[in-house]
Amino acid sequence: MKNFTLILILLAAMNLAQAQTEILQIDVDTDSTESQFGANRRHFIHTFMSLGLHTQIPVSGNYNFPRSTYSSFGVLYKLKLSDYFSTGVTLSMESSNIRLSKDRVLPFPDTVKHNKETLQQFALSGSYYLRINMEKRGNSIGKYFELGIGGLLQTGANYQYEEPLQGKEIMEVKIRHYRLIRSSNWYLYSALGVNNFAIIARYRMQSFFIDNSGFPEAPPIMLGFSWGFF
Amino acid sequence: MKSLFQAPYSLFLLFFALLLLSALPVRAQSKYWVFFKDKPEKQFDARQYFSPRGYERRVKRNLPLGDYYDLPVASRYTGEVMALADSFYARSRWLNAIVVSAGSTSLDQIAGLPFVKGIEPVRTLQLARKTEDSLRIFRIKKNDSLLLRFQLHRMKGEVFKKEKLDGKGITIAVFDVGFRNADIHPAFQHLFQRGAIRATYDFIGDDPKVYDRGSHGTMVLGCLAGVYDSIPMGLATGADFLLARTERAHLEITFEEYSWIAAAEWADRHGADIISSSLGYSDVRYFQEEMDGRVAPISRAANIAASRGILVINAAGNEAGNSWGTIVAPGDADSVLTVGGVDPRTDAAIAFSSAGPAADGTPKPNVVNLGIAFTSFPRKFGTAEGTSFATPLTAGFAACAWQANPGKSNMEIFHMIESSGHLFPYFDYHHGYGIPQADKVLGLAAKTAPTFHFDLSDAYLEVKINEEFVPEKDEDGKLLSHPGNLYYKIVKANGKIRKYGVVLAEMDEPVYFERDDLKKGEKVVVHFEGYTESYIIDEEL
Repeated sequence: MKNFTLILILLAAMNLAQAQTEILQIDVDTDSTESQFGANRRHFIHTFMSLGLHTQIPVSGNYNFPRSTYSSFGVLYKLKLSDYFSTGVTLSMESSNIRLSKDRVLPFPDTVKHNKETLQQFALSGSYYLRINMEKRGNSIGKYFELGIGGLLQTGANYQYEEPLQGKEIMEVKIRHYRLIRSSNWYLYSALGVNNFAIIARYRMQSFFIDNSGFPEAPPIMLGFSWGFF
Repeated sequence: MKSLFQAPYSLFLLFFALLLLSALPVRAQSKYWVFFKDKPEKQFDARQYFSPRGYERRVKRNLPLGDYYDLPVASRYTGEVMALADSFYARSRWLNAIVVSAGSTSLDQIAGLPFVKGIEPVRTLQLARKTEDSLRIFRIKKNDSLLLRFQLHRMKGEVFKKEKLDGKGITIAVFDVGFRNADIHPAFQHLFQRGAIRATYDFIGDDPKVYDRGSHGTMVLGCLAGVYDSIPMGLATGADFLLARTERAHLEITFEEYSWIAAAEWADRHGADIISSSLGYSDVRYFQEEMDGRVAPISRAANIAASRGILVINAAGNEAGNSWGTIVAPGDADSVLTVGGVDPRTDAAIAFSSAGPAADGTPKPNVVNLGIAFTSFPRKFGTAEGTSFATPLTAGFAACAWQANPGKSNMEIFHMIESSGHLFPYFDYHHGYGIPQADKVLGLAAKTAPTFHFDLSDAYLEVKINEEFVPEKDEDGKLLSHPGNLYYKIVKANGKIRKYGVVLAEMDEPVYFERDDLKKGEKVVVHFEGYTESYIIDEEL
């Protein structure tokens, strides 16, 4: 008898599904729960993209680093401490292209003067930050100033350049697993942001190349902007 | 490791310092509301303060002339605060407050002044998602002419037309981002020819010109009083208008909230009976739990406007599809008639329309209207969607209802509009009391006979639709008439709505409520085809 009743209920339920189309159903209690997650709630997480330039500082009079670029894509977690203070971590994949320009033949990275010499570094980066918000606001990020410390682990490094051949032909040379770039590093960074957008600055705390390479230092400062996706 | 004092590091520290310094002025220039305890200046000349129309409105509606809210903010208080503050931005008689910028030291001194009641920060300045500007605009289609006729018919606008009601004698203030080309648009020539635009003011630019910036107001005005090819797009073609620019089109800044308040006071001075505002403020400045009509200054001002005899009608917001979800300020104020949107194709809540209630439980939205409407654009006509357009459609309705009932107060008209909703007395947090109906507000609607009945079976509480309301089908099972929407809600013993929904009643089958899902003391309320009935669960099922 119990089984028969169950079958009847199931049939009735199927009948309901077939009979009428429900075009709106709201469960007020579950749909109206106050969230702990949000731009200015206890927890917030979002992805971000950053683009920047390694500053062209002539650390050695014989070298220049024009148009050296930085890019990253990652995820940011924010923990709200109060209306004005929050903290959090980031995890990102990043890439740096250090362009090299020699004014004459020099021993770095080799003893030949090439065209479009570039040192590429790919890395997994993580950071911890403290954020200060400027004003009281609603459930939005608002204006903030941020200070952080981070480290990176190299996942790939290349040295590449172009070599002119006879006529208009060009030979592109790429040396993978370039070993003279330091495989881990750490940095300080700061950001000044408004909602999705932030101006970022980063200072590398260790030399770009390994200690005994004898190479000059690559630009330690990166300036750029970051865009949060939320 | 490199020396911490090498040149690049110093440069980086310098950059840090510059970043920090660039942040500090933001703090230094923060804006604050400074509220005062009292209004010592009792001198008030109503004839000088109000325009002749504003004075006339106060007298006609038996409203006080020169009460506490009308008295000016004390100039002595303003002067003493300004001696400590950096800049002055605005003042509000209604809130008895001024907006200034000041540093933290000055702010402490201001807070210590004996006549200062309190200080609240004006919420942060930032780029923001606009609540009411996320509109998809379509090209003109064949269906547009159908929509044009339907948008007034859905309110039974033909009944108003038959009674020669077009809002004549009613003044509507429209607050928006600007009314680009409204002065040259063919949709509004009838208004300009008879001088129906009585005053304009741009509260952002501090300038009377409102026709050169922002398109949204042109679209909203179209749904109030525009005409397309001699066919009205809104119900208030005979009303008078005050047009105020209170918001920027793309950059939402905090200035706009107090420009809205300034515009409301201006509208009161110029005799506005109705404020139609298709604007709203949400997560840029507030949290959902602050949407209780008491936190946002704009909501407090809207309630004061209502106390001045003005019927304030505001959009519910287009937030249903995002994390905010709920009503936007000032729609959270209890004396504001908050308007949600329905899809004209389903007659059920349109996907983006913000849902109630307000944070303090105030039932919102109050009513709904079409969330897709045919209207005027700065250089053409077309279809637009948003609760922005449901709002002026309702404001036009309100103008006609008030014209028909000139002796009623604003709040009486408010409740008449609610009770004229096509779902009334049924209410839920997406549809309010439904779409206002002209025949109901004029007392011309016939009483609806029962269209369904409840039946309790072993496993279900069933709602059985009467046979004559079941849509007929042809031999292939194709519907021959449009099925009606059955609205239901389950109300807890404490009166709060627990669950609600809409069912498309397209088959000759009951709508089932599982007995296990119903608790003692709860009430199932159902509305179908103009008839509402409740079933109270008086035993454990």
